[in-house]
Amino acid sequence: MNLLTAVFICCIVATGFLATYLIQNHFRFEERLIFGIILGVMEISLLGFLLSWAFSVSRTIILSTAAILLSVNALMAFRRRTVLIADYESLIIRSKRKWNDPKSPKVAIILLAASGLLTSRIMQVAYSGTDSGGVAVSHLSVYGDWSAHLSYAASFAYSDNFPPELPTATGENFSYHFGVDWFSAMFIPLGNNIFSAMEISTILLASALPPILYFGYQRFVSNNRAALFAVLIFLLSGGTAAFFRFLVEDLPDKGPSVLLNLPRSYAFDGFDRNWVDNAVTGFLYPQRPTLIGFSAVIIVIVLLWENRKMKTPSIYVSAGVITGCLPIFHIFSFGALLMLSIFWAVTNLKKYWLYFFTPTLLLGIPVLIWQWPDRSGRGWHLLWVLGKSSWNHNIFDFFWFWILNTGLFIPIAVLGMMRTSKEIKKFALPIFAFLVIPNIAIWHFWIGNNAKYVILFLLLTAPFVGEQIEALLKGRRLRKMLSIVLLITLLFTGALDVWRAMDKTTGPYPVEYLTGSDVLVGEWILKNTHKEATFATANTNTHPVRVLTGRSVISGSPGRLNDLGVDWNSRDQDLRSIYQLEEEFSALLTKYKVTHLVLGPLEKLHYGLMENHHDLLEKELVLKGAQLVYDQANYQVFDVRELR
Amino acid sequence: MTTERFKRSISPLSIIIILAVIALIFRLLFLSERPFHHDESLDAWFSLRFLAGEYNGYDPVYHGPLRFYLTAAIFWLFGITDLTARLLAAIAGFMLIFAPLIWRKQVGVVGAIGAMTLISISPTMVYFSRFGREDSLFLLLTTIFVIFMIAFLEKPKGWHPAALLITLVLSMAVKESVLLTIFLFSIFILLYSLQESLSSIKKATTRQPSLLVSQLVLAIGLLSLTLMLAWLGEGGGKETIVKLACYGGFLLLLNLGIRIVPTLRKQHLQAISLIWSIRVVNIKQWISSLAAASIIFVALFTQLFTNFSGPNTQSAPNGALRNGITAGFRYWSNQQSTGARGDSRWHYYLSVLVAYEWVILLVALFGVWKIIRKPTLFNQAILWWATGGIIVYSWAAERMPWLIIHILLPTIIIAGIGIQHVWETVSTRKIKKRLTYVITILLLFFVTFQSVITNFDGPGDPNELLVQAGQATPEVTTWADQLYDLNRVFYAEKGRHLSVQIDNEIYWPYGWYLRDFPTSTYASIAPKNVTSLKTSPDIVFLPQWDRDLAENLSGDYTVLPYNHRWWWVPQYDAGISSLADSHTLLGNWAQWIWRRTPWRNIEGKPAQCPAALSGNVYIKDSVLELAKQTDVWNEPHLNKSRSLRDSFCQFPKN
Repeated sequence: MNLLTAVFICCIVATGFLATYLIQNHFRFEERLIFGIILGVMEISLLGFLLSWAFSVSRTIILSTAAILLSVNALMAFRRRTVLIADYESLIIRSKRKWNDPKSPKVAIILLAASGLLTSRIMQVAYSGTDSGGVAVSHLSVYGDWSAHLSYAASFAYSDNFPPELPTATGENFSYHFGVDWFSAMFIPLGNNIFSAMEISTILLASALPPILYFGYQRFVSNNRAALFAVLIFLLSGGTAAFFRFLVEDLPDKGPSVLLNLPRSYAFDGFDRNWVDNAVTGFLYPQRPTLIGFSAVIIVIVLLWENRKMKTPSIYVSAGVITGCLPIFHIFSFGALLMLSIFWAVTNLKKYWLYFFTPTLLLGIPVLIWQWPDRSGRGWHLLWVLGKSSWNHNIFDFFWFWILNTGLFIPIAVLGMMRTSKEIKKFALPIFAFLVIPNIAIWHFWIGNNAKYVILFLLLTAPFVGEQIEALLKGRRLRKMLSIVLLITLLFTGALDVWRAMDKTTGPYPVEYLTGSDVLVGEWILKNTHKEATFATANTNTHPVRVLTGRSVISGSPGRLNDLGVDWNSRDQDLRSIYQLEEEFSALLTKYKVTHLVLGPLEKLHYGLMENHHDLLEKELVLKGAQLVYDQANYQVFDVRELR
Repeated sequence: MTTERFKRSISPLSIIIILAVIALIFRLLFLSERPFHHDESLDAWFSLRFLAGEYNGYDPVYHGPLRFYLTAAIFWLFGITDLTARLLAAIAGFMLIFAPLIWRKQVGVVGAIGAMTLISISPTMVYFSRFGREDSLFLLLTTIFVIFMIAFLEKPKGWHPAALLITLVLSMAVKESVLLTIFLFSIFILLYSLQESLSSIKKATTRQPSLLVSQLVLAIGLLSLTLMLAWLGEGGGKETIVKLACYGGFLLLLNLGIRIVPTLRKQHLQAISLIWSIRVVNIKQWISSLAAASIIFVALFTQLFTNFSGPNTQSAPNGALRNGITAGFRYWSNQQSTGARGDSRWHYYLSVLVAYEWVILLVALFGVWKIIRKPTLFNQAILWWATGGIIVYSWAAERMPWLIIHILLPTIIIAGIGIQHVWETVSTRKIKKRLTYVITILLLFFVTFQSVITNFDGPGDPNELLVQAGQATPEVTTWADQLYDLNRVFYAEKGRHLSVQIDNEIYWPYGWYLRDFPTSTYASIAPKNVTSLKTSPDIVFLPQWDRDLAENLSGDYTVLPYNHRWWWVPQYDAGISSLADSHTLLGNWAQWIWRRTPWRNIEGKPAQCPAALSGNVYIKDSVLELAKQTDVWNEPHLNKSRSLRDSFCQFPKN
């Protein structure tokens, strides 16, 4: 990390911290600092996006964005300087209190430090170099989902993707909440490469989440320990699969040393028996938008909960603005907050809700419309995965599915809800919708995405589970033992998966993600092709053109395009036609406005191009007027503009 | 904002937080910028070996294993980079700034904050907090030891022996210099006991030694220490041990003799801090302390109970535990007899301290004055630490710039005492107070300026006296980057890795920089073994004295000039022989302090300019051509170090 990056991060934190003084809520100093990380990221990302769109992505624009927002927020916060000083004095006094004092900042600081260290470890092994000068990855999250995130971030940083267009399907709307990837892209002009940019932004956001959860959960539980349990129960969720797969299968088979090289994920088995992955390895790590989304949900809920009695209009407006901006960062969080707030408003019909809904809808709906996919993937079903993969359609499998995927979380959460105060009960009741929706509706192109509702349920009901564990722990010996056993059942599987994510050499990782030749061609394209160039490449999971340059391509990975509602099939067929030099070859290049065609190892392998066909293709392309502009290390790049 | 609120917001805690941030910035900013020193690269490489499970155990040549364990943990958490290789030193250097706060009751709040400020920004403290050797960590452990030692003698607690013994074991597992620490403070405790005995004879019940006694005993102690070290000379081996034992025995006998009088009156036993402290701790606590320290010792020297056999080298020939106990002392003792390493001049530390830390030395004079006027156990221990440190380190055979911090830190604490003394003197007088503020600001500005130019303006340039001969030039890092780039292109094109051969004399710090380079394709070469050169490697690095070996290369090579390391060993007095030439000497020093201009001696000989270990890089024409074709050729031979070195000795013509 270089100096500019460090300065930029400090600006983000300071901007967000000062922004909390524009919200009239009573936060503690440490809450302002940690909430400020997320608010700062959102503010700087949004203004940076607009300025970069207006000008271009550059170091000057990124630093100017930070400087402008820092100055504006500082000026506005100056009016509340007495509050700031009082907050600071309070922090000094409270910092001397014991950790279990509700107002002590110690637990939050420890959580921040611990999550910072763990995230640093996970991120530092995410990518590594190979002997050939290529790149290796050490986790499925990076190998899979991050391929798309790399393309999105690279498209902004290297290819000035404004107005935003889906870089993995040229000509398509950017029907994805790309905010967090744009945020990562902002680190690139500051001197980081694409991989470091992804890692640094993730460390910043992921470090803030546990303390944010802690602050949020504190509002709904009786003491610090219950809040801490709730944080762990959510982050280390993952069901009970490890009790069989690890304790019965892997441990006896390979001995204790298996802990140093865990052979598989325990919370997730590729949508066979386990569909609800661990919160860290299945959501926060691969699905980067959740890093902002989950934190923002907690911040907004804290704002609404704290002001349920005071009803200060400005706080509702602030909560509405944060929510309204969410479709850019995490559309599920936007939907979740909208649904919850509608329930709260309906059960408490008051005028002040207008203050919340006006900015929420004014800001959120246009983005939502813009991101809405062309294709419809909606449908209805009953009891989610029953009848799919190896789950049968019977009541036993129904219960077994939830026990295996979430352990005793749901029954304890229900118990916790029943035993909580009437006020909290009323507030938390709509959360159960997140458990009902996946069992009746399919609102996505891939049914596995229904787990995203379940994880929201786990996120929002974790404090009730934590409170029950704490209540048991306070009891006599038997209850104490029961609480410990329950805690182990809730944390064991997730803990193993998180531990595995910290291991660089866990089976089958690390795997080569990009070869040295891939990196070379990527670097050449960055230096020698126009930012608006469009490429014909293989639509494999990863490709140097996509992940290293962010240039537009005809098609990225079909599975990921399907998730976004893009017609991946016809693009796949078109690519095959291009590489097979079929009749409509030129027409297809024109259709997608292709400027360059890549002929490398991935194309040869993916489209089964034999040696003779490859030579033929090369000759034919040159004959038709294509220019061979790069020919090194198994890669050829043709300029095909003349062919269109 | 009201004045009262403003005052509250600049409370000592706020100042401490601000200082901590400044110290952190000074220690972390551009931490990886300076090319690795030879020793830094070895430390980092051994840490890597431990991480990979390939570390063979403690060998005193490379010092203790604890820092390898800790650096390996840092590598595991944050990744293997130049920055993380230096992070342990930076963290230890950062933690040191809090030492004065622990002694705030003895030093005073203003003095403690003053000392904390000086540790945060001192050019030398900052430089070696950014230097990936063990000294910063060792100093931290020594400081913790002194904290516990003073606490044990002042107000003994049951856990103090455990803390002291564990700190000593941890120090042993960092560096053999722990022997000097033990020696120094053993002498101090004996002298302090002597002083207390004399005092108790003079004043029947008081534990406070009289002024004359305390001054005399410590002064005589320092004198006897100097004489004893002069007597030791550079003998080394068993002779040194016998002489040291004689000196220790003499002090012990003196103690026992003087104690006969007070022990006749039983209550006087309590007047001796050491005896009183030992008796306060019960036998169970002593046994558990020894057990805890022993377990930690075994854990540290056996790679956490995994290797009891040791590395089986010439300097560590025994089992791991025996090596831990004896090899360090044997190695250190042999080092004394093999003659001086580093700078050979006895006044080396004094000269460098004056050059970099004259402000601290100046302020410390006030502290010394205060200590002489009002000696306490704490004051005397710190004064002993600083002055005894100068004597012992100046006597020891190895004089290296990184050892300065072991003398500097206690000097800064004394400066803190001086700052408190000045503050108490001037705080009641408005004009003096203002004048002191102005002087303080000016001095702080100067120290900060010195620190910035030393640590951030061309860090590692040989015109800095803190830069030692093992410092690599920036060419090394440029070449390392170039090799990776070249290898990537080469592998992609040819399907095999680049063959790089580096002469064993200039192998470090490449051993660290090329850690991810395919290991089987580069090898160290020696004059007697040139067969590898006949295999026609793609790139060869040879020092100037091995240039002839290039004759063994077959094929077409381009020869590029190369500077591997650089250094400067100035003649501090510039060779002046009469007072009439002192203006030249002062001019030289002033030029250096302000502009870091190296000086030559009075006769104008250029030998005083920074020197470099130069050589050549031989690169195959085909490889060079490929590099140029693929746009990865960075022309590492044109790195700034060449032009910089040429400019170091461009003196104005008179």
